Amino acid sequence: MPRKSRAPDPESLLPLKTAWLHVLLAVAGGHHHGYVIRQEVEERTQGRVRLWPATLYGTLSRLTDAGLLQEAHAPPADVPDDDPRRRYYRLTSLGDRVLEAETRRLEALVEYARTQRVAREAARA
Amino acid sequence: MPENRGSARWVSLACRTYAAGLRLLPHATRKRDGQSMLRLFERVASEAGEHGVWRLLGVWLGATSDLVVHALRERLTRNNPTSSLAPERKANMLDALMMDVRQSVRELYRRPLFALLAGATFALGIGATTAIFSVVHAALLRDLPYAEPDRIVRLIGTRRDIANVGGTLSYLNYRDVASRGTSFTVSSGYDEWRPNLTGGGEPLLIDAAQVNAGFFQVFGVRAAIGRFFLPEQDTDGQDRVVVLSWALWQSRWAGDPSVIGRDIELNGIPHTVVGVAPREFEDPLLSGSSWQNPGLWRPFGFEGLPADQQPSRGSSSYVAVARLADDVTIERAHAELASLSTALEAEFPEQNRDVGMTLAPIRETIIGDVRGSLIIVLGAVGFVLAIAAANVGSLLLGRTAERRAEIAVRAALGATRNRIIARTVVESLVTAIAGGALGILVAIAATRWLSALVREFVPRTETLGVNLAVLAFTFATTLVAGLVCSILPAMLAADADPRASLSETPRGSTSSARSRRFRRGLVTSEVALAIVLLVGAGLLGRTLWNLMSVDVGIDTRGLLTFELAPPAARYPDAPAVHAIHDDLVERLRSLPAVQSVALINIAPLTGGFDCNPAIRPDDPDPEERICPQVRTVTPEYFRTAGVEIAAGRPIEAADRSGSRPVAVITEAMANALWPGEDAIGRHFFVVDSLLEVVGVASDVKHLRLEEAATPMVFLARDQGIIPWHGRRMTVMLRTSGDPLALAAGVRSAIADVDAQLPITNLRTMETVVSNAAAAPRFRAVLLGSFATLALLLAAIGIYGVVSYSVAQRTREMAIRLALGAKSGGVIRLVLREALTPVLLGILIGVPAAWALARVLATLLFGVTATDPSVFVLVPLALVAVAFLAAFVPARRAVRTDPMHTLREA
Repeated sequence: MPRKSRAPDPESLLPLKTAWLHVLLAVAGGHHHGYVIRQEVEERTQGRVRLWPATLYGTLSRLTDAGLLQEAHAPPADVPDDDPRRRYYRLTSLGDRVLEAETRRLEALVEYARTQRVAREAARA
Repeated sequence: MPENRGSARWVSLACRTYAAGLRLLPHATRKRDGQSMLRLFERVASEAGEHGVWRLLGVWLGATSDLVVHALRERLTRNNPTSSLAPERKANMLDALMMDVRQSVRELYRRPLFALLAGATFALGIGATTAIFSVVHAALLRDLPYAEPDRIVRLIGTRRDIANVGGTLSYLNYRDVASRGTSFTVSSGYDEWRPNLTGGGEPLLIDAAQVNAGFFQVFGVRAAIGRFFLPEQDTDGQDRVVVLSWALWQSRWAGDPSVIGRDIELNGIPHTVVGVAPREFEDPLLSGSSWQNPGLWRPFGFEGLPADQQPSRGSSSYVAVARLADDVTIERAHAELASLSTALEAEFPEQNRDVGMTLAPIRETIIGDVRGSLIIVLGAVGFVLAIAAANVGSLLLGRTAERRAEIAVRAALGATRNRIIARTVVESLVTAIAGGALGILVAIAATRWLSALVREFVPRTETLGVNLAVLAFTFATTLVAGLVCSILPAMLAADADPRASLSETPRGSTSSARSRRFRRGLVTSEVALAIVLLVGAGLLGRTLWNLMSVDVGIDTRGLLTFELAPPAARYPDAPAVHAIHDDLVERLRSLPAVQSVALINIAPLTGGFDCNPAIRPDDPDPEERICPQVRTVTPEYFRTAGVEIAAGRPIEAADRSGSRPVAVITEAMANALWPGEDAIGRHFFVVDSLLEVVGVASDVKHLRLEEAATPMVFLARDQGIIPWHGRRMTVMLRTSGDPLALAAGVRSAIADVDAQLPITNLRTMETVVSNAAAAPRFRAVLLGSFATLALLLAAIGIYGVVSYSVAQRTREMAIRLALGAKSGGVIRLVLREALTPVLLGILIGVPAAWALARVLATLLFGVTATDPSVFVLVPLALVAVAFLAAFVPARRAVRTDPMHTLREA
């Protein structure tokens, strides 16, 4: 893959926009096409994040352009191909690394917030 | 089940609009993602559709606004390299705008009462405007479906001696003018025709027309299938051909193209179908007695007939259309017509005395009559929209005044004036768009209601609905309304002085003085607009009332009417026709609750017209002859219809062929022929028969409720004086019960006599009279609804302003009360402040209404445009409404405990 050599530093893409993060998470979780991505995000966030068609496909296109996703017209081996017009997405290795980096960034953030809370509670007590 | 079908329709509508919206995307994006987006939307929408229309609406709004924003972003950041703004900057502006939109939407959620009031006000105003515009668009704005419609004219017959002959002309005169003149490339006569269509289904009496072979060429349309008439088909013997309308082709032959060449039976005579008119073709409905498009057309076939079988030159019951030659102006054609008809008058002095011909553009003759009414109604609904916008503007002013502190903070933090104004405008636009979307639903419901109201009166409205052109209008109206509403609030917001606003307490009484002044100004203009509408509605309402209480001359209660025309193929002559009619009358008379049954050739107020010159034998000066309406009736007619015989006797069974020819005339006729004398026993000629007057009947309306008494002659059917009367007859039944309850019995009685005999226009006489007032009713009902809406909106506006101002001044009032002011005094104070702008509005509105009422002058009946009662009652009604709207909040103000209020502050 020639693209790999020019692949940007995953850190340069952080922090991810909300829609990007949710879509990457859904695809990484084995959801490969538009409708199920939308479903998964909506269920996971209990309806707080709704990806309307234009945003969803806009995001998918931009993620593909940025090299985080790869588009294929054939489904992955374990998914039945019930609609020939359907477009399938899978994570590229860059996408994988970006998601990993973002997760680490968020973990660090959450960790910091937790320590702050402990400190606040201690101060209050 | 029907609910599922209904939701499927909504789902498909949602998908179609979303698909149309995809066009907003830049081409590349659409190509790549458009199909996927649409498929996803379809799936999400149909899932939502299963949970009901509201869920679907939510999904549609969400997905569509997402699409619009996405498209904007794509276009701004990708596709416009020539713009001076950097993509980043534009994206930032867009983000700021989107933030305003989001905040406005959130703000609306947070204040549901404000959102509901403003949204509903907009929805009513925009919905009503959209509905009326859909009528105006269908009737006036839509292109006539003809080639170069401005070159098509209608020829109109005139008479120097008799005004208002209906514009019909003599067929032979028309043919002579058409063949001698050079103004027209092609022309055609036209006459309505109601043949009985048999074969291939139930017998059907259809609206049809007889024309010349060039009829369709005049309109420059092409046949959908087959062809139109050939020139030789104007000749007798070759004229047994028809062109079907698209609608009849679809309904009777299911659009089967093999109908071409097939024979169909009309009045028992086979006719070959040669073609089908295109779907969009609209017959110009020249006869004017019906708005039903004809189901088929056939050639007259007058050419080649012996002279005694051609229509007589003296009989002027035809209409004609023509296409102007390329270099001929309408003025030149007019001049040529005038000289040709002068020549014809000299050539046939007997039949053509005082007869002339003129012409008018076809557009005028189709919609000329209703244009005025439609423009008045559109103007009226525009007033309603203006009042609605003023109301929302007033609400927004209140909101802006409340937000002064917030605005001041934002200004202090560096928000530019433009950003602050933009926020106000966006809030107004968001409200307007929400209201406009609801308004479309209002309009869809309203057009259903409207279509029943306009069908009898406005041409070209058979397929009334909210189409793309109407939606574009709605969108534009919504944006304009939203922008107009935001002008005053934006001015107020732009003036925010950070220091002044922040240092004031929110309850300060001076900070919003300017807002109050603006809002009072809005109340003044609302009242002025409402006055104009109420005056118009009052005048038109009184006109309708007067028309409905006009004495028609017959007793309309308990009367059922329908039309019968035994076809010539099976009932060839008068005795055969009379026999079946009499058989039927006998059977109908034996139905329960039927008191009497009679026949008349044209029932009152049904649009029929049959005038024949009446001449006194001793007439020294034939200049003064009149053209009375001639009716042929059976003896029971006067008793059945309830026409009063003022002198002499009615037509009786003894008046039959062989006995001396008699006539019953109306009082207007007696006054015209023998003013001041007794008419009984006098004689006069109609169609070469000398008739003796045996009775004088009270006057009967024949065409319009507002007409002056028309001279009329009633002849005995059995004397056969007018040879062409007697076949097509209207049957009238008088019953002691509900006339419509007889309908089934009537139908089966007719089926017993002749199952092939179609029966048409079965309705009560009360319906006939009510239809005769369709135009005044259209105007009165619409203006009445709009005036009511205007009054309601104005009341809401006044209430809003007063309660706001009371809320602002609660503290001041509490102090006054605490210092010993009487509560009556405080209420008076509030009322005075509230009613001042109302009175000012009345002062402006009454003269404006006075001036505008002149527009209505020609539409009024029994009331003048300056009717004092209307001009006194309307302002009083408005003051009463304003008083109520102001009193409620004023009372609330003095009812709270002053100490409580002061402590709170």
